[in-house]
Amino acid sequence: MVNHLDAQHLHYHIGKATLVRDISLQVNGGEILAIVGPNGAGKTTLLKLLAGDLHPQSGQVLLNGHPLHHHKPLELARQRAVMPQQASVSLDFTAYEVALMGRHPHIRGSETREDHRIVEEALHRTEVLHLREQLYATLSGGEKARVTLARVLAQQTAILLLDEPTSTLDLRHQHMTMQIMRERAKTGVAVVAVLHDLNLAAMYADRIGMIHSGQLAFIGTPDEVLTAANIHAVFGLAVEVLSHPTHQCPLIVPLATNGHVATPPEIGASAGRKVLADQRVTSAPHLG
Amino acid sequence: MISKLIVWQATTQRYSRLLPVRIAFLLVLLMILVFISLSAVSTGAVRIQRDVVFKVSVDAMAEKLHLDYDSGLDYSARCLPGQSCIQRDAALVREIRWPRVIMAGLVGASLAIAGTALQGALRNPLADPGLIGASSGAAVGAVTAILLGVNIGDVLHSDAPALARLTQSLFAFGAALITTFGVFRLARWQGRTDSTSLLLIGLAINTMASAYIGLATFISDIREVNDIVFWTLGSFAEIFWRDVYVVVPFTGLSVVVLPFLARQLNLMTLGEAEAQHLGVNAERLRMICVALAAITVGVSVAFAGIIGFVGLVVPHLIRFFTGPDHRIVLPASVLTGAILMIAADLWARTVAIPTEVPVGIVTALFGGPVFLVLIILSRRGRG
Repeated sequence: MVNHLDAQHLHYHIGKATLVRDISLQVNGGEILAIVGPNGAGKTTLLKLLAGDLHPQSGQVLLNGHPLHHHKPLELARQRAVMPQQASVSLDFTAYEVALMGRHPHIRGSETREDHRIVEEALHRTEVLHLREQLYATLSGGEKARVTLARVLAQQTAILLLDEPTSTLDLRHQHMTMQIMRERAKTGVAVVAVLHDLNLAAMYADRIGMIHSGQLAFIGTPDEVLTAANIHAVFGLAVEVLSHPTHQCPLIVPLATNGHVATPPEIGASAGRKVLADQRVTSAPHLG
Repeated sequence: MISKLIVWQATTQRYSRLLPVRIAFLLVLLMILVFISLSAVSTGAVRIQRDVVFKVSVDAMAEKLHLDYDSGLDYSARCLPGQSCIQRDAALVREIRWPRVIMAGLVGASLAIAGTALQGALRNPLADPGLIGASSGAAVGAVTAILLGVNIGDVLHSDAPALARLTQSLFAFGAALITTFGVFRLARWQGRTDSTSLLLIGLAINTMASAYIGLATFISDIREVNDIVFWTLGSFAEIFWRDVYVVVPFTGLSVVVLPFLARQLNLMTLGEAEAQHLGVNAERLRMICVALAAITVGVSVAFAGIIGFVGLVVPHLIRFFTGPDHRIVLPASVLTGAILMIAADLWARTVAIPTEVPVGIVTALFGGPVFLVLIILSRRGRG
């Protein structure tokens, strides 16, 4: 099976606000692509475009060579799973029932023993099997996220789209989540994850796309993208990039100067964009 | 006491996930439905023994189905004035009581299943067939027919009172569909329907409808006011077999189709986008549910008037015992809606013999407090 998601010149705006501007990227089976960027940069919008929740005003997303909207919802659900930022359930379903919902695209009639086995395995892998009988609504934020992750894993798709899967998790479970993604990638799954933690992205992602005001500013390997200059240009934060003591990956350490960690980026959007445009040429050889 | 009840509720919800328990639960509800129907047929201004009711009903069914069966009841016994006799009782059971009880059951089932489907599809526990404009629209239609004095009988050169009523029913049904469609259309924005605005628009339409009905009541004469009260408070008086035959296919449509959508309705609780990610066409699901609810409730209101609270309360009542899985909640709400409506109508027509209380008053009178208790209990259950 070829697992290939291909976004071509995506453009999305609401009224006069452009949220995504001419973004093109490809994800292949077996790799993790992390999407990073400051708040409001358009990461979630990009993920929604990739998921087919939103339709771009121009450009298109191809799933294994066919435009997304050519796939029926159920057919699409067998090929890609989406983990939302926050998942609420409006009625009192238990954690187990919520995870079992992930099997829906595969169930004809009623669920089989195999479906239950897959769900239990997923709950076990995300370390929430002991919460199976609890009402989902009564779980903590991190527990909800892990049950939702189990639901997404139970869907057993070749493409995983995750919107900040680690934002509510403790340190251990953040790494657990990313390790699960690595395992899945090893079996040929294509993973796209919006991440806030640059170090998490550096450790686990094969490639990183850095978004800045709706544009794909940089894309490439962690070493190529996570440079002090790039991070300062996009996040407005002075950092030092070290090398991880045990992993072959960059380690980002924010720098504090005069008690202030963050230095505001250049005033005025045009100035900021200019800096960005310059650096795009020098430090992002993959682009274009 | 409350804490004990909550522990008990948690237990019933856990067991109700097992298929045999679900089947047993539905069978118990079915038995209650049969029992209450027989009781309702035997009770009234004239009391008829339950075994007579049973035998008359079986005989009537055997006759319809051309079965060679005879219960041994003697229909030829002479009727003496002031005494009950088989012949008159049989006519009462067959032509008056059964159609009324069955209609009450159908309308209760319609309102309850429509409420369950709407609460699921709109992801809102306050959704109710009344809230999307189906009920008030129907009442506006009927009231308009009354005010204009339109009557199909005039066209057919007949002055049968049933035709005036039929005219009002047709107006009610048409207006229910138009109103619901209008509410749905107004809530649609850029190809999507937002549940919250759907309910808010429904609320606005309902307000306008009640203003219209209030105004109509104000300018009408006494006889017209009686008719209007019938539509706004609901009643199963003057229901005959021909009315039942009209309602059956509409209620049947919802009862047959909606359980097939049960799993998709479960997924809708995750959120519309999440349901889509799992392969549910959320927009289509919502349109189907709203359309079925409008048709079923529209036809119910057209024959029985507005009967509040059943569509809102029954789904909550069922979920309180079985948990939220629509695969059990949908069929259970059909049976429970029927049971409660038959009981409410029984009470409405027997509490103040020889007059009848409008059944809508009864459902609101009991439904309101039950709803309050459910809300308070489920809030405590969540801790």
